Amino acid sequence: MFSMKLIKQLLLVILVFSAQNILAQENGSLFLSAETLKKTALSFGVEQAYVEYSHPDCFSTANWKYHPGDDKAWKETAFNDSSWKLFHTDFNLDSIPKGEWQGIGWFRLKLVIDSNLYDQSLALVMTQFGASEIYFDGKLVNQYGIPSKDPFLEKTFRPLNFQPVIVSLDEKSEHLLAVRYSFHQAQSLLDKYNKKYLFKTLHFGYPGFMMNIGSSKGAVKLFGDSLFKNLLLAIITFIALLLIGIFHTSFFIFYSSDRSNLYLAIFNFTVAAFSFSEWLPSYSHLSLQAAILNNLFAGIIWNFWLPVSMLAYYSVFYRKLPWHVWIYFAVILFMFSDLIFNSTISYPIYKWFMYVAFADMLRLFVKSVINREKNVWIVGVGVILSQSCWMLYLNSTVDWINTEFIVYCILLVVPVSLLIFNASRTAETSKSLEKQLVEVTRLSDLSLTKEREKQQILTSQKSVLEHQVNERTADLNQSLEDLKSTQSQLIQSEKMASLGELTAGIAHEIQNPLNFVNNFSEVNTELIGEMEEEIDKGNLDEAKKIAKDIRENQQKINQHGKRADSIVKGMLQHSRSSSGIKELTDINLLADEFLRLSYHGLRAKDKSFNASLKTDFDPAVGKIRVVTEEIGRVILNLLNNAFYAVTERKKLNAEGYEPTVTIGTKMVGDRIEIRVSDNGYGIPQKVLDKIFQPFFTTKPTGQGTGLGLSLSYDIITKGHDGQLMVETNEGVGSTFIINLPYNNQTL
Amino acid sequence: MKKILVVDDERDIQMLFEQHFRKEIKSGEMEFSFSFSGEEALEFMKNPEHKAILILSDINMPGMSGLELLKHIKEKYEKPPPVVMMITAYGDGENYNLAMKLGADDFLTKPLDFSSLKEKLKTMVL
Repeated sequence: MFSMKLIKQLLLVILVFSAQNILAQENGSLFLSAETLKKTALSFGVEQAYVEYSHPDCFSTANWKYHPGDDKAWKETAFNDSSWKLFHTDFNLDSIPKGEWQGIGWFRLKLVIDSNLYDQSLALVMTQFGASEIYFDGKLVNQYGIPSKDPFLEKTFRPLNFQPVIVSLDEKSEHLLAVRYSFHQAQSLLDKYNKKYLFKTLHFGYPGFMMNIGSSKGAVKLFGDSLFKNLLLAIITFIALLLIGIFHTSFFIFYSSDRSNLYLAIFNFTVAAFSFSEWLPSYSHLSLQAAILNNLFAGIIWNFWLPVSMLAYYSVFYRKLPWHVWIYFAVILFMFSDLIFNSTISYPIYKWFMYVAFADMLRLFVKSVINREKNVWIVGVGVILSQSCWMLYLNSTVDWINTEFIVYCILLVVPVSLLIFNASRTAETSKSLEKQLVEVTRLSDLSLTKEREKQQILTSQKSVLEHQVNERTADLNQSLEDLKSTQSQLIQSEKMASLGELTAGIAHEIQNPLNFVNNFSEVNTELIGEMEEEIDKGNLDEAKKIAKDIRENQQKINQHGKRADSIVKGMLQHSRSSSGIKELTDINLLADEFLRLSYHGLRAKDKSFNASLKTDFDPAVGKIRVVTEEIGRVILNLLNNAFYAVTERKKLNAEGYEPTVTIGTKMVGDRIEIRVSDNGYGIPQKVLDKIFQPFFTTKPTGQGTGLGLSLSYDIITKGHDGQLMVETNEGVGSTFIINLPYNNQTL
Repeated sequence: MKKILVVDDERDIQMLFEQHFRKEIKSGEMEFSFSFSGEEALEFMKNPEHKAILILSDINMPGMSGLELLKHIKEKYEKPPPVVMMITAYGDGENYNLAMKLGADDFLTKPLDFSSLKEKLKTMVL
């Protein structure tokens, strides 16, 4: 509307120049008839200037006669004003010839009444910022403020819009309207604002006055409408805009990631501010200064209308604001340049941008409709309605509609449509959120169920697994037990195997002493016979000699008997399960005994075999505390291996090879060493680290249990706190070293 | 006089022979020498003073076995090689065949039957 006012004022400026001349030729009189009044009553609009120029014959401000100064006689009908000049009552700085306005002056207008108006009444509607007294036929009919020659006594007053003064007509055809008007501040105020702000073209306020003359009935109705209906509309519009703005602001505050609410709020506040500055002054007694400032404010706000509305509109249709929204802001610069430089270039530019903006709005609207965006038609309806109102308003000669109403339509329709659309969109968002919530709930329920199922499956699997594990464990325990018993059986059979190897040796070892026992007994039998013979002969010396031999032989018999006895005992000891009791044992003797046992055992099996036996016993070793049968078993095992090694090498019939097995003992610090060496092939490096593993054997299947060394290792390391080591040199031989702590303490 | 070398690793065998052949030794009919290993026997025989014409050797001995000793004797002493009688605790065919093949003159098993051995030595025509 402000633009409308602007436009109209621009037009007015142009028209004034053209129309002024025509009207100025009227002779300070105005012809009134029932028809003209009817016309004016209908068109009594907000925009006086506009109405005025639509009906110049009844609202002329131009055919008044004027005289500066103050003289009470000038109110009289009889006064001859033929020497007065014609003057515009709504004078402004430009229209006042220099020095013509001196703060107070008189305006006179002769009314020529048609006979159809006799005995009727007229409404005089005054618009002013100064102070005035209105005289009709020389009588004071109304006074606004206190006009005075003295600026300090003057009291200016702006009447409410459309406030009428009713005067009665008699049957005279001529009447005189005289206005005593004073406004001392006018010149200085206008000079001040015009100079200061350079707003020369835009006349924000008139220091002069306008008097509209119409039918009293129409004017009264208009005044009532204006005061109640229009004011109410204005207030409602203002509050509605404010509320919508607050609504969007709250939305933005509580959900600031959606900026469209911010832009919508700005838009609404802009429109609200504009509506306030545009309309509320019409219903108040503003001073000219306040009116000028208000209009200035409205002008500035108005400039923001287009960019701000486009901002709001785009924010609704775009997720991210398009760059071209800033073009509309750029247009403001033109608008301000108009304000500042007193130019008129902005209007055509602005007009084109209006079209562009409208086209773009339509484009977005159509696009959204094509994209089947829900409820977007609301915005479309709003924009179209608003544009239609603009059109209507621009052609407001149509008198069947209340222009005020149109104006409010224009003000409210777009914000409301955007509000509704935004609300619907928010509702859509909420609905979709609700749907998603339902979906999410469903999914979470589903996942919960799945989770539970999983849990159940896991639990059942766990119990199955536990069960299986228990079963397996039981199986394993059983297997372990079986293995243990198998192992002990194996150990036993290993013992028996090594014993078996010994059997022949043992037989030989027992046979030899037995042979001696037998042979010496035989010899003794013979010798006893000879001795008897000698005794009979009385050859006692000889008999004594024989008796001595017999005694010696008897000792040999005894000796060899013991030897056989110890062999049998040793064999028993070997086959017996270990007692585990450590006793003082002569290591050298033990080693020697088992060397012989082993050697003869091998001889018994392989008659062709022979080997050199070497012993290297350190007498210092003496007796130490060991489990005799276990250590014996280890020595036997090592010796058997040694003999096996040299036998294997011997089989190759290498020239000059003399199989040799050596057993020796040695004190090394506080420990003793038993070394069993052979000059066999040695142990290949690749099997060296396996030889102490159970069941590892290099012997052909059936010949070795593979347990000998592993058992020996256990006996030495676990049972005797000792070490079993091997030194080997391929092609040269091997030496097994038993290292035992020297322990001869009795328990 | 028959000179006899006895080779055995059992030292008590010397005493046994000396007692059994007391009379023969006393009468100078027989003379016994003793070696306790094959190597010792060979060393003994290297001595040109030795007059042993009969060797009694045990087969089972540590080091050089009786059979090896036999082999040495039969190979080295061609004219006239001494009579070698092998004695063993194991009278099995294998040892016997091997001994015979190597040129053993007799094969005796332990325990020795000294009276029959005495008969054999006495009647043996050397």
